Amino acid sequence: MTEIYATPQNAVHVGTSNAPATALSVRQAKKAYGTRDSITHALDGVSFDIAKGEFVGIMGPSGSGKTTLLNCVSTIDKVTSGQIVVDGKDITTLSKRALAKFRRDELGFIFQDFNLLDTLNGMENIALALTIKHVAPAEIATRVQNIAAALGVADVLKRYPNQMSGGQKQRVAAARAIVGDPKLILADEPTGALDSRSAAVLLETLEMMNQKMGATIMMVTHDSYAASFTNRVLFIKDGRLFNEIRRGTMPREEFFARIMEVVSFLGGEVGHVA
Amino acid sequence: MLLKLAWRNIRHSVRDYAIYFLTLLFGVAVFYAFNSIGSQEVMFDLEAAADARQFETTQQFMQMFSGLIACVLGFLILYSNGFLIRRRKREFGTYMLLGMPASRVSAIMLIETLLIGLASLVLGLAAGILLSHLMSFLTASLFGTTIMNYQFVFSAEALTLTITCFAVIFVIVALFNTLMVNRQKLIDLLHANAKNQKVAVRNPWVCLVAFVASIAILAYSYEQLIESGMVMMDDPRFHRATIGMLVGTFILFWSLAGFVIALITRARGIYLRGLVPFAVRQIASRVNTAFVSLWAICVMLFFSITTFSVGMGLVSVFTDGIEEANPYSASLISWMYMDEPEDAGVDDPSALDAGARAMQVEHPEAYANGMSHEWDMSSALREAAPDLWEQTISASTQLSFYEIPSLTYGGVIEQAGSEAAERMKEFSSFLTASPLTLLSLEDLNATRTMIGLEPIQLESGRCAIVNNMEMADGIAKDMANPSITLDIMGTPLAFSDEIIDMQLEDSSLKTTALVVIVPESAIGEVRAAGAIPERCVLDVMYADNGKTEAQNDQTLKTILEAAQPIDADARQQDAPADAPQYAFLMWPVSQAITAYEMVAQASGLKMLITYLALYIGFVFLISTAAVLAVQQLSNTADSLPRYQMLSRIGCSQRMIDRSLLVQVLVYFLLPLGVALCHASCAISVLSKELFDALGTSVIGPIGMAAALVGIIYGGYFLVTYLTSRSVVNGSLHAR
Repeated sequence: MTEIYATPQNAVHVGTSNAPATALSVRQAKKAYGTRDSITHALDGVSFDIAKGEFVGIMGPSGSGKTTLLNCVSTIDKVTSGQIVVDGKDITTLSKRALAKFRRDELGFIFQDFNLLDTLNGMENIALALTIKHVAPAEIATRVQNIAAALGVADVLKRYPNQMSGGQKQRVAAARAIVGDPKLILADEPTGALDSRSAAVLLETLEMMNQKMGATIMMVTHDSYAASFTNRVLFIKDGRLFNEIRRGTMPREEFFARIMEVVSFLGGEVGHVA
Repeated sequence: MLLKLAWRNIRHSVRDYAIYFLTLLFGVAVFYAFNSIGSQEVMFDLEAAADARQFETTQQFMQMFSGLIACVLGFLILYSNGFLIRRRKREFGTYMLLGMPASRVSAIMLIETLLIGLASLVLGLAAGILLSHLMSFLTASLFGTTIMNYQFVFSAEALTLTITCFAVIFVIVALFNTLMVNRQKLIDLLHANAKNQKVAVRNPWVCLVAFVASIAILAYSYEQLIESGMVMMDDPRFHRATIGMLVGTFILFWSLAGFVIALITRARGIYLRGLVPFAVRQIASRVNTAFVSLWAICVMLFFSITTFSVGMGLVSVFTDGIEEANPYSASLISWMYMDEPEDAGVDDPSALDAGARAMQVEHPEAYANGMSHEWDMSSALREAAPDLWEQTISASTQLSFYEIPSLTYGGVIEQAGSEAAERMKEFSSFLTASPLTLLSLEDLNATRTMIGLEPIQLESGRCAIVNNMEMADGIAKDMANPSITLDIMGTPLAFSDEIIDMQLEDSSLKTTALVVIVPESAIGEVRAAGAIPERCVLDVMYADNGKTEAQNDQTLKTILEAAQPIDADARQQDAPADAPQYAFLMWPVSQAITAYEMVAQASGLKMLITYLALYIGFVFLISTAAVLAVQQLSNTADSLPRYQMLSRIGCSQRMIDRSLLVQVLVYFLLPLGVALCHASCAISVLSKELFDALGTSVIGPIGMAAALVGIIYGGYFLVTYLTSRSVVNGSLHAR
């Protein structure tokens, strides 16, 4: 453990010692692709924690490994070595069946391309997260209604995805992600396919989910504006944690400016090499 | 290079091709096997031309129906091929993007089609040869015989037919594919996969109304069908029922999904469980987009189930009672005059001697011949070939049927009351107007004695009815009423209440209908008034002379030819050239029926109908099942992103598998269920109106149909499910 704590960025983080308050804990995660002759390390020893109730953004240029990280946390992919602990459970050792159950019970997902089922209406899409958990049918309706009202999609519950706008679809997807009361919500470029207005509405929704509903969110994005809605942004580059900035009490505009600095620094460095 | 690419493509998409290939293979095998039935002939020891002719007839019918079958298979192949192409549009797009000209892409497609076609043709023919050998055992049991010369049988004719038919189909498919690739725009090909599947959503209220309407239409059609009794195909009620069923089924499939969704989504307790909403919506969207093909499949299933059950039912009608229907070695029949006396232009057609005068006018030679033998057929035949007659015939009795023109069935039945008269009229208005068929007790008892039955005792002043035709049972019961009296030349005769059950002459069915037995004295008076028999039947028994029945049949023919030279003018008229047993204008024998021939014909008919029912039933079944399978597989492939999403949000493999199973099952059962409803209605009507009357049950044939459907349909269902499952699981694991 001490070895892991030697990672400088994490050493300064308060609350990591308090295990129950940690929603996600990634330790020395490595992911290698390729053959013995040419190995690519998509993740090269990443370690960080996300506390309960935190809204964390993960940023990095293309090929930095942020998507691999998300896939590993969401158990769709497996790390080559290292640990990923969610709510005290090391998910890297779980069996396939247990993984499905884990995703069902502990995680919520928001994808760039919405990933709603086009044959189901809004209500059914949100309810799906509950029905597959075998929640009592009587309870499902009220829970879906409540979440939909909170996220402002109560009036599109009867519509099918192709009858909704992109923003509505993504908020329905967000409702589906949170309705099951997951330990961790994973958002993969949630604003990627939205126009700027819808993106802002969605980000405010995510912020509300985090602040009012206490959802823990890990959002992968390359959009600095989106990242500025979070509490903390981790920067990944070449499979390693490169930097971390906290919002603390600073206003969003200032936080945005700070993020932009890091991003342009990252970009500039890349430019140097090129 | 192209060949290599084509080969690699096939190997790559072997899962897509599996069902297509299997169906092709089945198609070829069945096509060959059923067309080669004629060549099985060499395996059996066929004594007589009668048996060989059955093989020829069956073969001809099979070839006739093969046209229809080829069309069905052709459609099936084009349809499945279309689906495969659609799946691969993007691949073609990539080739073209890389600079391959459309003609080369078409060429790859052509080679693929030909490779698949060639492989299925070769393997299918091998399977067909095997199947045809297996079928020879079935043939043996249908014929009630054993295989005498088992050998390798190969029908060049069937081979040529199969290759020609499938070659034509593949050429059409190749043309279609080429056209398809050439006509497409590159952008459409590349974006084929990304194109969003349109989700058809219908207004639930419209669906509800349409659904109720479709049920009403179907109920009305069922009622019309039951009323029509399906006896007459030109009955307007039957037409209304047919159209109603087609339209009602169509509306049913159009509205079903919307109706069920509207219903089930309100039952939250059932609906919001596990993947139920997903499965229901998947099926509903399938049914909504594919309702036309579901409708067509349902109609085809109905047709094949009904054809098969009814066909097999008919087989038992024609063959079950064949031994009972042929108690004599042979029945030689003489029709005295071809036309009714009034048509022959004689004066006073209602006089007792009108028949005699008519015959004199129509064919005086036969009349003179009959008169000189006092209408005794056996004496005329014995005279023509005494030695052969002695050797061949051990016993013979003649039944002479008389008529009194003024004494009709309708006139007699009126005595039993208007209800009985009405029943007879409904049974046959022709019968009502016909004169009673009279037979003397003496003739009847002589015949009974010959075949070892007890003679009938008739009290004086009584007459009795002979009937063994099940359809006429009710009428016979009405007539066997002691309050009905006949007046024959002034002698009153009251009916005995007993019905004599007896076959009076050889025939393909039990055909003795409403013959009235009267004392010899009554017939004597009719004869004295100048009447000649209207018709005579000479029932003969072959002697135990060490010869087979077929050989004795041959000798009987020689005797007939001696009595009635084959080149006689009277024989030339009306008689089929290859049927020496017919000589309508001659006396003594205008028609000869032998038990052996009847049994052979019945076996032939059994073989023909059984094979036809199997052939049509099988091909229709594999076609419908294959279309469903192709649709379902293609739908599964289109839905892969949905399954990936489900897996991501935490659905276990088991849940997904189960949902898939339910989807495939419902999709297969839906058209089958509707078709079974329709078929059971049609079959129960036929069973009540036709098979019960003929005294057979359709339970056996229905069981056979169920087994056939279970095996073929169930087999396709299983393959579809397993393939879908492996496609879905494969895509989930690839992530």
